[in-house]
Amino acid sequence: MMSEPISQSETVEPAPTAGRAGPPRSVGVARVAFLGVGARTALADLHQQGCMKARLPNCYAGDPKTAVLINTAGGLTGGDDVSTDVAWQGSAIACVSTQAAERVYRSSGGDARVRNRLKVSKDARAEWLPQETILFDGGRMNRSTDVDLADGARFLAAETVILGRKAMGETVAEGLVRDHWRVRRDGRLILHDAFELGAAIREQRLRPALLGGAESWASLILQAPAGMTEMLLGLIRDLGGAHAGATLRQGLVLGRILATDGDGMRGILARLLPALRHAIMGHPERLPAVFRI
Amino acid sequence: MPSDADLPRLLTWLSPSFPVGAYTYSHGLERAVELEHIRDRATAGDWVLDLLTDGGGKSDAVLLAEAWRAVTAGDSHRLHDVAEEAVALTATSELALETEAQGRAFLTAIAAAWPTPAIDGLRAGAAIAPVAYPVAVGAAAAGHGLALRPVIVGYLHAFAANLISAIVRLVPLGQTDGLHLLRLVEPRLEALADVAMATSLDEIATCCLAADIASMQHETQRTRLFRS
Repeated sequence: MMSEPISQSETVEPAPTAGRAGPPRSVGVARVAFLGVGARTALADLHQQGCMKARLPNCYAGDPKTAVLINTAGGLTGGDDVSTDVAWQGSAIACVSTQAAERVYRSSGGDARVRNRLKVSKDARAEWLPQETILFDGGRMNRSTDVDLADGARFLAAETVILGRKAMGETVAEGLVRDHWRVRRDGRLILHDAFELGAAIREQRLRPALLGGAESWASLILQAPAGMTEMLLGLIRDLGGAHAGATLRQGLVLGRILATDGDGMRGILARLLPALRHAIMGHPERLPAVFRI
Repeated sequence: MPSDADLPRLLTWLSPSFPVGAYTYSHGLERAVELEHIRDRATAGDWVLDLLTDGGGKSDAVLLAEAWRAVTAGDSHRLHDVAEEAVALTATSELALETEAQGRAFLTAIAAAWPTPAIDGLRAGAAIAPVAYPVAVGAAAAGHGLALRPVIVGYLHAFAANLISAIVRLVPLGQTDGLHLLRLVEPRLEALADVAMATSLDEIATCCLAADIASMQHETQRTRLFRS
């Protein structure tokens, strides 16, 4: 049974965009806080503004409490500005995902700005498992994800980008994916994954040390007790047939995966994420429910 | 003040024989050769240029410039931020070994023969927080009043030459192929230095995912000549 949120607010009006040139753009803020007391996790704060919504569907037996983010604008384009703040407090055990793939449409000016802030306290188990981001030709996304981890927190994040919709015969010639992760542990910067692929994506994608022809990539950032490190590295390294690697940096297990296309990446993650969820979090060995429907 | 000793000093510091052990690192290329991503002069040139323009060469050049500016401005907080950022940006454990071990060795060598107060703070902090190689080079160069642009060009040249030397040994390629590769990178270095000097710490970004994966996979490669 779901407990009542401690505080909850929903603002229908988008945040003001006055003074911005061009047509009105989507602006949204979602703020979610989970509070864990003992073995119980409750929603402590839910704030929704503009195009960003968060829903908490009923969970299947064994699955953690899950917040599903929804961008009601149906995608991102230049000038959009969406923020998501999530906190895992106390001994919270919860997953945050998205209702659908995030589409970044051709920009007629400016970048779509995406700001994520995640804060995980020392006894919490936090999962950040959004569905993939699909960049359309000419799409421009500038995303930053700032993570504050307490020492001892368990954390599993996976972020996937796909260039174009292959099934629709689309290729991405140009655009921008700027994707920065900054992870701090107890206030100290321990990881800055600073990725930027821009301008002539069609040519950049084919360069051997960049994407080597791949149309999809995924990044994994994990924090778990030190005794699990070798096992977690092994789970990522031993993805038979996948172009993947894993390493340990400043107490974080990092993984990178390249796949020929989106379908290939979904297949790889459908094998890997359940195993990681089970290993780190103790959850049933399956994807979040939103991935399965 | 620039002096007549600046050029020879820079050549000494960035020489392959300067005691930082550069020749023991391949930046993950040993794995790329094993996978035959690098197999001849053309594929070698592609990888080296990728790393210079969109990988470790690019981010190192910005870090060097930012460290140089911090020391020149006498701003120890800023130097600390650059040093922390450099370590946080390092994508894999072996690339961290490569840059941190060379950074430490470089500071030791500078302190022994070219002492400057500019590196004292970095050396004192090195026990608790590692110092990346480009940060050490930038700080030492600023401490001795070397102009920034030639230092970046020299650093990138040394970076590329070290990769090429590793490739020549690993593939293996003939000495002439190695010379052609060195010539290939020459005309790119000035422009790369200009880009680095116009890039701020906040704007640093790379996209060499396949090279990152090669470095990660090198950790478990069975036969290895190189430490990275």
